[in-house]
Amino acid sequence: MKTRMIISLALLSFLLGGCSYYQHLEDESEFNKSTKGSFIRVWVNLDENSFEIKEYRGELIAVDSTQLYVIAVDTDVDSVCTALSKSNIESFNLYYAKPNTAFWSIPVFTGFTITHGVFLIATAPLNLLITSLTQGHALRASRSQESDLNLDELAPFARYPRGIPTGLTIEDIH
Amino acid sequence: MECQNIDSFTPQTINTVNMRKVITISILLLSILNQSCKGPAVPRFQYEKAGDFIKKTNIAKERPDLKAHLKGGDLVFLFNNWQIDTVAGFITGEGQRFDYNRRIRKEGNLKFSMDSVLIYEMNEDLELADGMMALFPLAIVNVAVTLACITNPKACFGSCPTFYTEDGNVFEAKGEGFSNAISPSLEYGDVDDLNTSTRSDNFKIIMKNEAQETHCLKAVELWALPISDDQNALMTRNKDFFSSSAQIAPISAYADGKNVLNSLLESDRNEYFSAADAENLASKEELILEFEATDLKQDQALVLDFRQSLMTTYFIYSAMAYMGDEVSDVFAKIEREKDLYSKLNNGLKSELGELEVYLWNEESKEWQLQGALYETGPIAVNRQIVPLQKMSTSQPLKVKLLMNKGLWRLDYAALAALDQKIEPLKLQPSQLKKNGSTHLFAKQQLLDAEKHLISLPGDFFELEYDLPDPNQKYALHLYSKGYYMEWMRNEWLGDKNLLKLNQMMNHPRRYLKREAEAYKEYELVMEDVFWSSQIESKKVSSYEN
Repeated sequence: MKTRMIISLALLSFLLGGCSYYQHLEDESEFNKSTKGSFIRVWVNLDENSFEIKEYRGELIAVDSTQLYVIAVDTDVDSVCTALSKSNIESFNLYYAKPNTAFWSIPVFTGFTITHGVFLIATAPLNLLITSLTQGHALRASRSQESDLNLDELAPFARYPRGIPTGLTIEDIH
Repeated sequence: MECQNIDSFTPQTINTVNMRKVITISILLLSILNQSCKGPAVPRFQYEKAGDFIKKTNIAKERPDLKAHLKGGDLVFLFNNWQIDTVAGFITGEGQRFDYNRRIRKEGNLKFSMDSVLIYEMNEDLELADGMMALFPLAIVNVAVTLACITNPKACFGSCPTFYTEDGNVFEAKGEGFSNAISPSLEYGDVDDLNTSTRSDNFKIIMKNEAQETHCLKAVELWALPISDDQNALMTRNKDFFSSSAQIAPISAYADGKNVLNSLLESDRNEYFSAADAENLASKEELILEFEATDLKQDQALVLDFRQSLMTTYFIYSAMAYMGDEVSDVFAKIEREKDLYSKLNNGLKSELGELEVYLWNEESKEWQLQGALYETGPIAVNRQIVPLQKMSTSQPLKVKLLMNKGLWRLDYAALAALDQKIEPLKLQPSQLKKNGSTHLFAKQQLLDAEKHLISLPGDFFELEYDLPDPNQKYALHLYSKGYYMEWMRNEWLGDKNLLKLNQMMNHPRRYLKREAEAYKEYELVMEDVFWSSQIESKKVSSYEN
């Protein structure tokens, strides 16, 4: 039972804490000094006849009336600027900075209740719930999604808030 | 069903189902919070004209950094010492200029035309919710509980060999076996009413060792009592069984002048219990029950669902702690000298007394003792009956329970008509699984009258019994025989106090007075935890002081 619990907690921690895209996010203190666009994850349906959803994640370059431009990283898409039609975008997550999460606290705090003896039966679930909720809250505070912002409202967070500069093509940008 | 312990709450015993539920709920909550909550409003303050932000920065105590997005895609980042010459149309300041791919083109003192700027940006510091902050209060609570446990480990680490029906959890434990048998020579058999009936060809029982104990089991039998559809099977303290088809609820129940009737009408864990006397742990209390006048032609009995509080658990662990590093010497003596255990057990027990049942005799105007009940154990509820002498009266039938304050929890009381005496079918397990696997050796040990099945901490056994007639309704009881050896805890060694052990054994009356203050210190904490941990239970117990 104990093993199962530890594995479950480790998995939970891994799922929430091990997201590889964190490494691309700025620290909170660097938010104002950042010279690039915010980090974004975009889910796009490229083929209307298919339910296949493709994810792009990387720097938000610009937003214009019809398209959203992203330089994707860590995906099967080359690290070049890609224009995504707004009409194909299913959803997105915009990250302002690395979240102030401490996912380690979920297994550590819950595991610590082993020292509580009989009280463990109450304190273990309590710790699991509180740490999960607080870390979930901290994670959520670092980003916005389609329910918070519409696509046009993403423009201020792009590298070029007023769109691709005149004279540049997306091939020039990287 | 005697048990001195509460090890169902030790770390090994977090109920699997409950824990899975908690983890699932946590993930769901996290997921919901993650997906559905409104995200933060993090604005980007961008201005098309310098005039739009100059006024704002003039009144600010500290001028923020300035970013200027130039028309060709370049970006100029200026630290807070920037200056704007609106007449000449230039901006100057110390900072960095980046090209459209954000490679640094120039650093140091920079000057550029306001006409080249597409948009200005001036942001406030970002302050995201800190996942650590909320953890500090939690950490303080955790450490406090840990310290409390270190200070008083007996309050936190208990023990109990427990039996469950297949769908049971810790709060539906159906039995606690032979837990007064803390040494080989004290082995005895114990019968628990599983409060369950079945009409099937087999029945499964889960037996767990959730404690720091070694359990030695001589027998675990299912006792099946054939009854008709409208009957229950009731058991006396002497293991006599009766079928019963009628039970009458009390019309009133008073303890210390308080109406406690609601706690006793249903077997629902909404229990009556009182706090121990702060001056003397041996203080007694009375609970008076009244039943509608009956003129039963058949035998009748008081039915009581009861269990103990954690008081006896406290005493037995205190005794072991007082023994300290001489615990093995004392237990060796117990094996050699029977009267030692009698002193240890009966000294206190005689002071605490049993749950005595009296019947009011209207003719002689006196309470007449009908019998007494006693089962140690705070987890599983016992259902037993005390036969009452026949009485024909037009007055309400009055029954008095005399019991030690703070020692007993009463869940249900009724007057039962006893139909006839019945004999149980005593069934041996047909299948035995140990820790999930069929275990023929363990089964052989359990069935061999000369051997013991050994169960170590963390072990669990699934015992299946074949019932002879699947069309017959059987009321089920569990017979378990054996003994167990409590493991000494490191935490207890520091409490060695042979003088106190001597007082407990030889002067229990004095001990119960002097120990009252220490017991009261954590009595409420223990009870609170006990009830607050009833996550899956149906109701919270009432509390009557």
